[in-house]
Amino acid sequence: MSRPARVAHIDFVGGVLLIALGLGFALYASAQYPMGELRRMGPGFFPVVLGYVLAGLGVVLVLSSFTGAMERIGSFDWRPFIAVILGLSAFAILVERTGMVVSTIVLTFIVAFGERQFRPVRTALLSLSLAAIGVAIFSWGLGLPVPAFRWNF
Amino acid sequence: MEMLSNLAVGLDAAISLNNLFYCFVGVFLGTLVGVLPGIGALVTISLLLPVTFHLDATAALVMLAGVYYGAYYGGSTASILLKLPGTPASAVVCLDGYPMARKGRAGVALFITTIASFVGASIGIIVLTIAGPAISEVGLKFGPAEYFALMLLGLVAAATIGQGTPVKGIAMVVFGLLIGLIGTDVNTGVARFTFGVPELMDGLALVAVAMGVFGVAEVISSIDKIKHGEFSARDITFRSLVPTRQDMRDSTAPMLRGSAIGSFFGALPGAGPTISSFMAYMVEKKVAKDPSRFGEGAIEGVSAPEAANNASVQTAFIPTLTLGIPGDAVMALMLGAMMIHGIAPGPQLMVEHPSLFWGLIMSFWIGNLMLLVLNIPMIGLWVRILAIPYSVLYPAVLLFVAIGVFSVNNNAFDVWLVMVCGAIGYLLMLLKFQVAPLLLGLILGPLMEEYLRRALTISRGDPMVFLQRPISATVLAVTALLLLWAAWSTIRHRSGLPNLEAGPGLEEQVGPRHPAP
Repeated sequence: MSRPARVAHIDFVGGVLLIALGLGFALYASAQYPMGELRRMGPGFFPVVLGYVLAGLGVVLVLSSFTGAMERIGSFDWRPFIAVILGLSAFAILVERTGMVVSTIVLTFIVAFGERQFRPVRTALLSLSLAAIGVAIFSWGLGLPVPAFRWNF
Repeated sequence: MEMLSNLAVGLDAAISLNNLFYCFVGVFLGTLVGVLPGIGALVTISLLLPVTFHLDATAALVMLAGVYYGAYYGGSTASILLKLPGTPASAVVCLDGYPMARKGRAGVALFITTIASFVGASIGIIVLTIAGPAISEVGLKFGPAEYFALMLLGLVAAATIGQGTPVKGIAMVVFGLLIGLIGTDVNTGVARFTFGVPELMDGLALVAVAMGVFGVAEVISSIDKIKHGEFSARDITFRSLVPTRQDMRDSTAPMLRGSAIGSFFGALPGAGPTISSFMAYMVEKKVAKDPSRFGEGAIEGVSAPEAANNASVQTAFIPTLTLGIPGDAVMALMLGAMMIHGIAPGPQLMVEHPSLFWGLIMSFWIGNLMLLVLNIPMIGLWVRILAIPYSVLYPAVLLFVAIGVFSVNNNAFDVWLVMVCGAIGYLLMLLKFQVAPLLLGLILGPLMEEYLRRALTISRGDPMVFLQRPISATVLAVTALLLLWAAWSTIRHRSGLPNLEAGPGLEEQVGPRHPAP
């Protein structure tokens, strides 16, 4: 299965990411927060140590990616990814402005586009029943301060 | 008898109408999400965390625990009928459960898995009842140094024994510890990594992170991948459930062996139900007179793993309830739920909150009895639920994620946070990082830092304190050995155990799904 590919090894990418994250945390913490001493640890101590540990693990991962078989990153499913991200974002924007019903319907329709096959009738029915359930459980049942309808831009 | 009076206290708490109700809600939802592939106990418990803000602590924990062990009852249903595991731990049930279904013995397989689950759970609860108080007594003698060492061991074990490459697991723990530090430092009052965002002052909301990295990321990677097959629900009649006398005889010893294996591995941090059920299957194959029957519908291949995973979900509560050290991500969420209610986890839990501790344990008995009823007479209901397509389920899951996380603080900020965590979780998944250790790190991060500080303050800054105290030195030595093993297996570029992770990739391991004839 392993063939020489020009695409980077999955662990190479992962390791580089860890190094960046670890150094980011460590350098930011050591610049911003006092380290203190062992007896009275400052707020910087734990994050700086952990940051360097994370970067070190990243180095190990990068090195290990040169041994063993090539393993490439699985395909990034843009369609469901974008649909879900947009759907949640729309809900975050709308829920306090339009209330439960509109935000639910918008979320359901956007995330339904994550599937290759879009089924308008099924999605419409689903969104209406979910809106009804949402209003019943959360607006009325748990007393969430989000009414069914609202216009507040 | 102190034990009897403890159990009486527990029973008293567990049979209050309120707790009975939430126990039922928990096991019902647990079975439901266990049956449905693509939604697991972790996602459901993260979804339910906001609801538990409205409950008292005992009811909340009883319900969340019910979801956890209930899911392992339901998990085998889809494995048997669709060769599609409902939970990672029931993947191994596909191997013999599905061939049984193809031979027209689906009913028997479903019946035996329920009985095996009950036997396993019962033995697990007994182990928990006996071992819990003993361990908790030892735990009371521990100081900050021991706790720091134990937490380190728990985290390293969870990260290395579990799934995937050990070094990646450890990296996720460290990443979790780091993001756990976001927010105001309790000792100095300094706001760390908040970048001036006021919503981050109290730290990352556990609910939002859990729902994001598990729920949302899982949905993104499952859309268009999970397809439910057709099978006839009418085939599962009540009569088809009845096993032959031979079936029962063949299952008794495997159930007991499975329960023993599960009880042991469940209590170890990092091992858990998935490893338990695979171990039980391998043991049955070893001890069988005729191993060639395995994979062709051998009933031991169904009963032993089911007993094992249900035993292990009960004993998984041992380290969590007695020492406050969670062995897996679900247990970390249980710990989180306790802390939300202001209950400090640790050995003093049993002393300070006896009705919660024993009530929870007694609720396991009640919950398992309910599950027996839910899964035998009502099996037809769950079989029908399997026919709900994923395209209807996932928008509902996402909506409940969004509303649930919003409801915690009535703040849209947490919805944005769940979205970001979902995106990060999906990226980590693509890079084959396990996200469960991340959650463990997130919950234990602040606690660990606190114990480290306290231990070093007591020793006046002498780090040798961790090696001078015998218990902490032993624990650290075990941790070091685990790390050495992890390093060695990373250099050899494979993990010690086969990759057991379920999710969308699992079909590749158990083979393509064939619709039942």
